[in-house]
Amino acid sequence: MRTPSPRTRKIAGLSAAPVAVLVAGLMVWQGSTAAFTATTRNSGNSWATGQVALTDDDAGRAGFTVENLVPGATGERCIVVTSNSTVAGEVRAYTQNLSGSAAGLEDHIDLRVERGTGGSFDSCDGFTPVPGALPAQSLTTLAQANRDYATGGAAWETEGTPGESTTYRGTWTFDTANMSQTQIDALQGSRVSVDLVWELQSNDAA
Amino acid sequence: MTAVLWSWVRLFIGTAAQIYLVMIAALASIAVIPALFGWHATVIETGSMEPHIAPGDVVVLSDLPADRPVPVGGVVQFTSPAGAQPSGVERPVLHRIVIDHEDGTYATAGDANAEVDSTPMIRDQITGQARLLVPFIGLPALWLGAGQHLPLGLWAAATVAALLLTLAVFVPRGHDDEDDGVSDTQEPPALARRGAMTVAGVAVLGGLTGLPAAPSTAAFTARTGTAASWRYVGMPPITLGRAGPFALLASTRLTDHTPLGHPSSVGGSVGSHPGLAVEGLQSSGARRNVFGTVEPGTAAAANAMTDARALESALLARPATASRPTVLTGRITPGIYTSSTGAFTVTGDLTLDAQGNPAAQFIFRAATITATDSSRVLLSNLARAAHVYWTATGNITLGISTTARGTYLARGNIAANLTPGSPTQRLTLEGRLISLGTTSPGGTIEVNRPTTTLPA
Repeated sequence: MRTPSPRTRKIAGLSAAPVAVLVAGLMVWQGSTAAFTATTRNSGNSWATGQVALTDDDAGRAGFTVENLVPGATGERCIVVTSNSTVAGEVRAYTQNLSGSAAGLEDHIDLRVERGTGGSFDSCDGFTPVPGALPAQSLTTLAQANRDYATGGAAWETEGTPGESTTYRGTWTFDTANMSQTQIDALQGSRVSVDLVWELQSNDAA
Repeated sequence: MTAVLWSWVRLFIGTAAQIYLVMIAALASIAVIPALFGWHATVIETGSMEPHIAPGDVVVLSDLPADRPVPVGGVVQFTSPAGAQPSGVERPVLHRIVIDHEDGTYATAGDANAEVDSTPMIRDQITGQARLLVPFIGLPALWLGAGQHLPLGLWAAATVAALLLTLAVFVPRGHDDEDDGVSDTQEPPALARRGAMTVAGVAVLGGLTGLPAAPSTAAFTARTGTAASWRYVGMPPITLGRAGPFALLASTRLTDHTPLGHPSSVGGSVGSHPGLAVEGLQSSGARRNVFGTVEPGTAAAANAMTDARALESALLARPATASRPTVLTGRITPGIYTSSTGAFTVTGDLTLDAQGNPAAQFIFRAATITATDSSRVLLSNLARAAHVYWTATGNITLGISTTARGTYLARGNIAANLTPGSPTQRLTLEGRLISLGTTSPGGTIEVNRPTTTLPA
């Protein structure tokens, strides 16, 4: 075996540049094609659960199912929200999909959402709130004022440590103060439902 | 032999280093040159568009012309409002448009996010459509911005090393020429070539760390939630039903003790059920004092008792508006009142003020209800006796010469005006007395000199 001849060295030196440019171009072309011409996103792909995940302890049960309201009645429910994310971010609470009644029962169900520690879905025993709760307001107001992440409240800063959790407590009241019996009776048979949503968004990169 | 192998390895490493340098230069050019044609580039800071787009990639974007449709399915850079960002600062975000809501708003999502972004986007927020993805080339700028000096330093060192290797292998130096045994007389002067390569390398290093591309975030989002529903079935109605025609309805025994020659007048039916005793009350004959029918244990009395018990349930089902102390006197506004002591005692004049609402209800609930002698229940401001209810889980006792208004329901016994007294000491009642007989002993009604009318 001989040492590389000057000719070989020259070929290597001169061909390196075109090869590199070609490889760079291919990388850009391939990446752009894959990222920008695909017209559907990979729904339910495994990346999502790997990087950011938010779960709660309701095990699929509804937070509130009150089938027989009595004027002035009140109730509470706690739910533990757990972040399994590796990136820091902020969780905010908001409402979605308010389905009201013609008689406007949603105007008279007041809901207060607090964040704190302790408690679980089965019992609020041991729940201790932290400042920053959303004030008690009617579902109608909530659905307008806290309708998405941007308008959400009761914020929780996550550190990006998988498994960190916090507890949210919802307290509702069927508020019939300042209502006449006739007005209360007009709500008879009404049903209202709403989804309570917690959303985590990762922080911007520093 | 070792020297031969070494010279091949040296050539190979030198070539690889040169390929690396040229590739970086080429990628940087692709990222920067489109800017000359009005496009712009952005460094991706976060990984929500993975696996296609990773942090450190540079995305080159074109403007979205006004006459072009919004590229649903495509990747765009848009300005996310301050409120939608955890930091509370307006940021450019690079995400894919996944849903056209057909109301002028679009849902966007990061490819790595299971959910779509909660805040919808409008066309005006779009600042560019992604055209070219240049991998890795924004990493130095990202490291610098994030203060990650270790990877930045390693990369800079590797690049400098590649530069030096390239210079060493491909740019002839004095002793290299001796090895070759051939004089490269056609080559430019070695010093000039070396200088050019160095300038190029430094330019690449400096250019990459200071890549003039504004960063875009691509935030991760995840959501969870729970459903909530409420239903108000309603309260059982407050209605007398078939008890309406009855002025006096007892469960076991109904007795009018009015002495002979004293006045007694009942403006409605009287009855008992399941008891059969109705004493001192006749709807015909010389001592006629009942202006309805007399129903001792009849079906009509049974039906009336059923509805009276339902009425009591409806009255008790409603939440109280206020709890009051024992003594009821003076002026009271509409409401559902419970006793804080278990007893209510009407003393003197009690004025029920409907405040102009003829439908206003007054409901008083206690264990025992008493009206002191000569006390009166008065109606004011359109209050109506038909909308006044008194329920006692025990006994109701109306004293001598009382004026009572409303429907009185007792689970125990009801006694009204029980005194031998004079003909002028009457019980004046606009309403009804009903003893439900649901507690024992109980179920009797005893009255003396009643003058009752059914409320309009």
